[in-house]
Amino acid sequence: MWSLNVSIPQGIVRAIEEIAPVSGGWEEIVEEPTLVIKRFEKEDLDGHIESEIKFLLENVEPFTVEIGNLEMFEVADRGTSPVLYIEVKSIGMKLIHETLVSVFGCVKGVEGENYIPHITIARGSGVKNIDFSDFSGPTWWTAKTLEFWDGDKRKKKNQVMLDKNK
Amino acid sequence: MGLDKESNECGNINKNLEKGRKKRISYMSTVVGGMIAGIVGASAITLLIVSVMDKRVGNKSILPASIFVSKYIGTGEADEYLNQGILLSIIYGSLMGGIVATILPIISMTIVNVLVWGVLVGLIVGIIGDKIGMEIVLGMKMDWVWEGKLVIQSRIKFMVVNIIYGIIVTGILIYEIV
Repeated sequence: MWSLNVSIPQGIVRAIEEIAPVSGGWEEIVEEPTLVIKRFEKEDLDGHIESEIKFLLENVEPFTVEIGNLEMFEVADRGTSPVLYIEVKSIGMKLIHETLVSVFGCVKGVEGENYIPHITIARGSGVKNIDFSDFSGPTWWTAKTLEFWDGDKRKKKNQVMLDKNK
Repeated sequence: MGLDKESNECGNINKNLEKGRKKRISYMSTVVGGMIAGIVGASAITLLIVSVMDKRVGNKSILPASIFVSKYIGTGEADEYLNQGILLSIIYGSLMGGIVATILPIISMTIVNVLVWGVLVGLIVGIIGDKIGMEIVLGMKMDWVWEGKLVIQSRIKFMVVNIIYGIIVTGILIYEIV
């Protein structure tokens, strides 16, 4: 499984790390938070899907991403439940997601109508009443870089620079 | 974020994604473009083999595709299947052109790029043709002699026509003629 993600600024990653340990009793705390626009189940052996995505995004300019509230998926479609996440609001992410779904199809359960842009911070059971007012990071940013993320190896494969498109 | 700014951003992204969609469609169409380029390239080298290179040797041209027709489809000798061989060569060249179009990276329109990529593509197509097409499928071995040999007998002539094919196909693709 690989995905096209929005690169999360370091200030937000640090702020997430600060609140994650105090999230209390969760089984898995995510070490490298990611913000997924579109997942791909089929392997892209010759890089053609990546090339096609780059064509699609060739004219897309940087867009705004806003941090929302701390929320919970009681039952996750994949992996351990429940999932503690930070809700994200972004018209840009939604529009790119819809376009990519219309071109490449949708991963069942988590995409299309079910797509909720979010940053997962912890999984498994844990303290549910968490005070999110401690979040010290910026509440919005301009997404200038998207990255192709290898979900199995947990590392970035490649990136798309949107600020070149201005 | 204000409503005006949000709707502005939404309009811009939608418009730019639409541009991207069109670009993607044109990228997909390069497969068809590659097949057309392959037809042009294959026609050119077939004409070169039949009318120039083989004619200078024995006035009787035998294409690898004619040997294929003779061996696997027909009952006569390969030289009786020149027209069928020409047709099959062009179909093969068209399919190879389609494959080249999907593999060829997006590169700038320069003669140097056409020559470098053309020679590389021609050599790869030639080596595949030699090792798989000639040796395995047709059971024929070529040598390196140029003089007095038909294209199907001389590896160096065979490679030269494949390089010409590569240059024509990559030239058409790089300059986006189709």
